[in-house]
Amino acid sequence: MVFICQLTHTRLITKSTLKFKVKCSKRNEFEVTEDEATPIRLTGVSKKYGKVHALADVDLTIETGGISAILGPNGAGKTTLINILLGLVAPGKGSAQVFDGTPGRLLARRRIGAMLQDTELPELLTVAEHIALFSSYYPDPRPVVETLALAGLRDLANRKYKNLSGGQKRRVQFAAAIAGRPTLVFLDEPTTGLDLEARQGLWQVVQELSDDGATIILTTHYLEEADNLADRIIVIDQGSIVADGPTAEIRARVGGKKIRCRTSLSEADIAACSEVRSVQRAGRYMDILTSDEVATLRTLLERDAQLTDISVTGTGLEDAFTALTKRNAALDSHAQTGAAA
Amino acid sequence: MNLLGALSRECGAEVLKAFRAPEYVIPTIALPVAFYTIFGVLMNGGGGGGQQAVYLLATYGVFATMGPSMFGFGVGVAMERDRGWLDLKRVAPMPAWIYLVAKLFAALIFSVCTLSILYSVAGWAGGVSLPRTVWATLLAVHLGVTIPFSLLGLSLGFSLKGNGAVAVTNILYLGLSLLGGLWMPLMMFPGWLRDAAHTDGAWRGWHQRGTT
Repeated sequence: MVFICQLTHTRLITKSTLKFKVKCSKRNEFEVTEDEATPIRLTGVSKKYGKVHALADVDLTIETGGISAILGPNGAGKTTLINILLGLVAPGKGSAQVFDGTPGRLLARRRIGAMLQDTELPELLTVAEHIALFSSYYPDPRPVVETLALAGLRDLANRKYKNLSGGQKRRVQFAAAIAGRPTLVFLDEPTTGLDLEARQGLWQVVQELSDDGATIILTTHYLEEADNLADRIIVIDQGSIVADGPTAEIRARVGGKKIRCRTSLSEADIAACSEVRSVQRAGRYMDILTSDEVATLRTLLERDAQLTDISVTGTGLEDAFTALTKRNAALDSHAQTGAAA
Repeated sequence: MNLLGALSRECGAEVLKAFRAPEYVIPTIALPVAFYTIFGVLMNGGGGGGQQAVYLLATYGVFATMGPSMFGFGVGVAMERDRGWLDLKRVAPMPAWIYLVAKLFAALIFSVCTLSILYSVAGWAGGVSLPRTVWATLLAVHLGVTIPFSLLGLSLGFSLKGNGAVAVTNILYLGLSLLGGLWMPLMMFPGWLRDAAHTDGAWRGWHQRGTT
């Protein structure tokens, strides 16, 4: 499997060649036959911390392969979800299964690699020592040199962990997650603290792991990251899954533009336009999320002669969440106005 | 999985971690050696030989072994728990006992280092001369001390946060050593302190075994 690290460095051979080569190797055939269990199956999982619902009745199945991104604002329940799947936290209600068994059991852990949030490795060991140690836990680890190369740590192999920058530390944690050639990889906010170049480097390796057949689950609050990497996006808010589907579909639902303006029109008037996703009053301004900003602007200008202070911006993640989480509420109010009319 | 491989890596990592931390090495090795040299040899007129010299070696040997086990487990586990390292270990396919055995191994290696310095000082300057079997018994008793104090350290490590663990472990380490008569014989204490020391029953057990 040495060629993988060579590939990462030369970046000359296309992914299809890589896939082909890996499929030809004996090791991969072995893994495929072993991999019939469903990596993740959650049924009606709830978890409360005190009175706060960290997760409320979550159903989620993730089949082998692909990159799934769990997206959500801070405190949405992403990390609780990951911790339940890793066996660090027991679900309060419902059933959580990893490879058709209890999360956290040794057999499951042997096939899992994880990068957690807020984790620091011991400071006085070198990068290579850390990776060698982690590799020794797994039945069939990657050679240390290869893991280091994949994580872009070859030049830092002999540096002590405490002398690394924040981003470099994060890369060591990533290396530890993939050292054991896991078939299920959890990455909890993997690129926090990484600069753009390191982030893209990590994305590439994650993509390669996925091409090799690994199932990847990552949490992030960067929409861009999910957009770049994931085949499937699961949006979670206040402990519930509010959207789950292929990336393109989710993007279509939250994409579009945001118009901010001062208008005398009412929220209901604006919401009546078919392309408008959500309308929200923000002080003296009106925030309008729309899939067709030109059409909406035209309507606004036609109907409201006093329209001022117009700005049009792309939707950020915050707007995306607003759109997704308020969508149901907006639909309800739509239905009500419809009934009244 | 190759358990033996994982175990030896883990032990190696624990030993490296310990030897690379001056804040751990200096108190755990230098303190007992310095205390013994000052109180057991220099202030005791070259040990003076006989029972007293053996008594001091026995008690300072226990003091030397307490440090690595109490600090390795108490402070080590508390810090690593704080930093999320233990969570990552729990997720990794490694049985928990490997982590504990490796820490115990590091404490033993440390104790052996300190004890060999201590025994050398005792033999050359402290006036202690014992038959080989007695030296071996003494070593076994001293290393045995690692077990109860590792367990004590472990319970501290799991019940306290990092900085709190440093403070409490220090207080217990020095307090138990003083009350256990490890620095000076109990009869040199004022009466009230001696009474306090006598309440420490488990402790007296070790110390009496060392003196006989």
